[in-house]
Amino acid sequence: MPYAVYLILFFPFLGFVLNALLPLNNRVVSLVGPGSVLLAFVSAAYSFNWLHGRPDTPLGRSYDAVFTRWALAGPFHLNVGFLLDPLSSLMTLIITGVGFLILVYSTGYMRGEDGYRRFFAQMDLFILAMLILVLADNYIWLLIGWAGVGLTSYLLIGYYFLRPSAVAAARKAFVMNVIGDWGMMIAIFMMFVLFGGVDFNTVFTKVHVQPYDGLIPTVLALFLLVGAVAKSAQIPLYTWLPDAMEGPTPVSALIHAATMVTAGVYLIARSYPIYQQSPFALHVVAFIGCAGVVFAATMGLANNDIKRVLAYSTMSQIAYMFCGVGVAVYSAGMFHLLEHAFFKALLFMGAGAVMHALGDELDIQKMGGLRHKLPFVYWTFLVGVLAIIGTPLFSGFFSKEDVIGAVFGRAQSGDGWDWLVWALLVIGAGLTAIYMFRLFFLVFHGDPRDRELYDHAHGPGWSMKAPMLVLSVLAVIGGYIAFPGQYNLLDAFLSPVFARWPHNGPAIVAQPFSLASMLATLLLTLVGFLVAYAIYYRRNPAPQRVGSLAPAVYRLLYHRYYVDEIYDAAFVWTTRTFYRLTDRFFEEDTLDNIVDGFGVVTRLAGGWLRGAQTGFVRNYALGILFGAVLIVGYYVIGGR
Amino acid sequence: MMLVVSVPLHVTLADWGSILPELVVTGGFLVLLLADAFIPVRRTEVATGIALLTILLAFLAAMNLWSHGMAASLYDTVSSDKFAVFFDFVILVSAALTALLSPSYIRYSHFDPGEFYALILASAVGMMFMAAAISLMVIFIALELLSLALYILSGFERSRPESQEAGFKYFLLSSFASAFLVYGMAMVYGATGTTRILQIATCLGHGAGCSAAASASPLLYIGVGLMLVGFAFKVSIVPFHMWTPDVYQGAPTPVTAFMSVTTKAAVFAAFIRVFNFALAPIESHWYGVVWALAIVTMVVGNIVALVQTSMKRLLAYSGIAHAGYILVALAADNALGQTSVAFYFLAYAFMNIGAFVVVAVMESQEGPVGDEIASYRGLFYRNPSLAGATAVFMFSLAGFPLTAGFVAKYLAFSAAVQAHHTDLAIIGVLTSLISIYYYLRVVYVMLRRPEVPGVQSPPTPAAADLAAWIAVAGTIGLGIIPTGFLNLATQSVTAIRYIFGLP
Amino acid sequence: MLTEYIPILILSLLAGGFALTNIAVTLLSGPYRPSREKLAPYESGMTEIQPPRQRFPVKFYVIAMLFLLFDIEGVSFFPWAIILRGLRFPGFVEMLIFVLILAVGYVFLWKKGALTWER
Repeated sequence: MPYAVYLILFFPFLGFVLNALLPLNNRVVSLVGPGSVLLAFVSAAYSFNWLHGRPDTPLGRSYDAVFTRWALAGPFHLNVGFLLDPLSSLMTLIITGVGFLILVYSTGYMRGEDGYRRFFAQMDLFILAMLILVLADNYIWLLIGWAGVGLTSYLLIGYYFLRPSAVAAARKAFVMNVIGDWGMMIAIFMMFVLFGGVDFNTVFTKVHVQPYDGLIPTVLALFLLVGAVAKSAQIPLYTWLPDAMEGPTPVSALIHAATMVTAGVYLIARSYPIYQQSPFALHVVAFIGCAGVVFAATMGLANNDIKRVLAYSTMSQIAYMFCGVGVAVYSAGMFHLLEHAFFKALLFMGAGAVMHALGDELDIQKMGGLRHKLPFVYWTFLVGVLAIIGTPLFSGFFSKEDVIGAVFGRAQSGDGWDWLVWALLVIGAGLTAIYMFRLFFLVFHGDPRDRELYDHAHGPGWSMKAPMLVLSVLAVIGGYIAFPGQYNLLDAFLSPVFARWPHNGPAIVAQPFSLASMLATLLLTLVGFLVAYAIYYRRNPAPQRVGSLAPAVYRLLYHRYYVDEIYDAAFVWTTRTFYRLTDRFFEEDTLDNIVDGFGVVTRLAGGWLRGAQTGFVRNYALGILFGAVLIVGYYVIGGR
Repeated sequence: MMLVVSVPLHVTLADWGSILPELVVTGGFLVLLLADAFIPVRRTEVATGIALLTILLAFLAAMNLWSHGMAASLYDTVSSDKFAVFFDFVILVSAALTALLSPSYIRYSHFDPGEFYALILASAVGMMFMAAAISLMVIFIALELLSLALYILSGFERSRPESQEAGFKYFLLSSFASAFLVYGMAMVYGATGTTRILQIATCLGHGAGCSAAASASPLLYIGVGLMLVGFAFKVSIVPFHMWTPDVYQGAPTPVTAFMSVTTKAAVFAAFIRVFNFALAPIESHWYGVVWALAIVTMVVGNIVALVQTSMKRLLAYSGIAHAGYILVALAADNALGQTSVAFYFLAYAFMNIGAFVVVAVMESQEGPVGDEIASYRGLFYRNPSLAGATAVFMFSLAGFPLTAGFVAKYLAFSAAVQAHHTDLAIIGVLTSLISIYYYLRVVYVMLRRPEVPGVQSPPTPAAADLAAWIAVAGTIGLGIIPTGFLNLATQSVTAIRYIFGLP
Repeated sequence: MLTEYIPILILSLLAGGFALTNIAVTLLSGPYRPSREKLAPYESGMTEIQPPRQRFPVKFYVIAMLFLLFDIEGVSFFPWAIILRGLRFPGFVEMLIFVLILAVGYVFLWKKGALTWER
């Protein structure tokens, strides 16, 4: 029964309505919040299974559930329709599955917080919006979901709205996301004008006949990329993501690690018929990706905030996904998206457990030696770290290898620039190992640097432990759906989606695996681990000492390349000055007078016309007679 | 002289069936009168219940008629095509909303509930006949029926001089205008030799069955001009609008709510039948006058609304402006224009009656000053749900997207563009811009901090609350998913155009 | 084309002329001795007791109006009676319904006390 696709959306909606409107007590909220998402997961799994049983062709593996036609007039109409195909089905499974685990975790993590019900209502709303985003069968509904997740992200970053930094972070995230929404809207307007429709089918069919490397696909792809970059926190619109860690940790895990920030990757994968008509746009995606991998990883090296390190790592990992879709091996990007959802959610849960144990302490320089106090967190966190750096037999290995191997394959047949992409990805793998193990050693090994915090540390409860356990299992075995050079179940499952609109230009040689590339990656990862081990495990140093090795570099990294300051100077300051000047010289002196003038004249006319309203019946009757004489006179005189 | 009787004497049950909704409402009217006479209906609930039940039954009858209507029945005087039935829906929905918002007002003003509802139903009968009439005679009789009931209703609040004044003014001026209408009808009859709309169209179209000179006769055009005066008065087109603010303000609020939507709907239905169908062959001769009236109406209605301080007067001028927009759609004289008029009234029923529900609630809570816009200050803090509903209605009346008002206006103006009357559409949009000022001023006033902070309004009466919620749901629903209702409107217009042999 | 209306024109001219002539003749030939009673607005109506700003009983007018109402409805029986043969039985039923509606109105008035002089 394909209608299960409606149920996927219905349950989170129900959960949102119940939590938002009814004055439930916390016990009921704890049931309704995760329960609704669990039901949605069951529906998603059912839909997945149903889809799997359909004929293995592009059309067979795609079901467009049209809820209602939504139209104004004329030939243009828009469906409220939901597209179930392997790509969206995979995304619904990730969103509802990981979402459910994180909501269970939240029942423990958020216990005793003010606004418990508000939290779950907003989380449910987020999941609903995210599901609309991935299930939409046209760009308008995709944009509605897109804006919806932006809104809920804003609300949840500002969850502690009494804290000014949280409100500022929420506002920053919102503004940057709206820049992305703007780009998407321009793209949608263009589709409407150029193609006469905004549903995937129309757009992709029409873009398919565009010339290879033509202008239209390139411009469309770049405007969509503005949206993708803003949502996925990539260069240059990434500065909101570290600040977004002001939200509660489950929010960081679900929205700013596992699901929402990967929406940009989904958007590019979903819009692949547009991108593959434009090699230039794909190159841009890949370059943004490879630059982001290294850029974010270096910023992660010098940060002392446990959640911000993870945020930079998220940015870096999403950059890997961008590279995967940027070389047109979309399934590789989606594969890394899937595995990243597992291990990054796990890492955030671990970070949350540490914060929980230490009374919301974020500074890793004050931690240390926690492996004795929090053994469970220690081991699960270790699994997450091993997965993210791509240790063989852990999930991250398979997916990262898929991406790097795909880039390597493209580099062999493409132009020389792809070698740069590949090289940066491999270096990024090494950096990942350094900053992740730096974080790991500083938090869990060595001697406690703050005795008082250490003594009061306490382990998490079962509602937090159980989801972490499930995710650590998934972070290990999740990668076995593909084995480098042997088989790739995910690619096989997704292939009907990407086979529907084969690209319209010279053939792309895809060679997803190469032993040389894998060995290079593993070698650098090992080097990275050894560096971290040598500095942070063996010597257990104070941060100043590490920094003093290369003070200028350290300062640059510590201040995150001064990008925030540059943005402030370049955009905020100039805009403000410009506005101030126009306000003073243009607005007040010129516009105000003109606008006021219109208002005054209109109101005067109103007052004058009101004078005709005397209240006397005789005058009114005279008015009627006057009008009648005019009209009849017009006809009598001969105006026909 | 020999009297020759040549009436087709075949009135069958099917004929009566084709006016079943009207008959049901008439029956309800009689039941209410008798009930009021014998078992003095002191309890408002009983009278409201009978009225609502009647409306429901009539609604069911109308739904049944939707697919089984007759193009002409009862000696070719009444039609039950989908166009008529669509307007029946609009009128019945408006009557139901009125019946929901009335009880608290009835209690507050010590009305006789039985008489009140009987008159509402009587006027509804007139309106439904007016929408269904395909003979000039029936149009006139229906107009008088609906007007007579409304005269009394306008002056129903006998203890208040303003109400008496409103009733009397309306009576005098409306009779004056009716005289123009009936005079015009007589002249058109004189020129064409028939009062039946279909035959007038045939006669003017290709001269079959009447003298070829009919379409050149000065009688015809003077008649058209006079009928225009009569119709224009009833839908408050400038310069025949002056009664509107006084009557709307003086009449009891539920009556104003009812008449502001339904009278216009019924009269516009007849207006369309006469001008867009019967007189379609001479469209070039009436277009100029309608064009001028539409422009003057939109400009004057919107500009004078700017300086109003009373909510009911504001809504009266807003109603004048909306009549102008609808006249633009009528002037377009095409299928889209007629569809937009039908849809417009459905939207208008929700948003305008909704706005009057708010006025009624405010009056019942704050007394006569509740009508002043100034008394809305701080409503968002006193009664957030009522203020939210008000905002929805104001946004919709101003024509903001995602509300019914936007779709209605969009259709009306795009009909004008389609008919190459771009000038009307442009003026419509510009005057709509002016209107945003006075609609949003209400919202602004509600958002201002109250003078006395922390005061909560008494709870809204349940029935009025229900009416407000229905109106909000209709306003937003029609704005977001207009498709289904637009389909109904399109079908109704297709049906009537088919009868007249138009595509 | 308008020739067929010439008789109407002549008739209106005659009627108007007759009225004007009469007024002219009385003005010119009659004596003019005004008094307070003669100048009262309604010479033959009720004597004015006080300024009409105040409320005064309208019972007489109500009853007169009701009489007119039913009188006019009654007139519609005549054309009906002429074509009753052609209308046959349905026509009879229709008139019964008409009478019934009139009766409801009458009963309503009666019960509401519109016909009682003293209340």
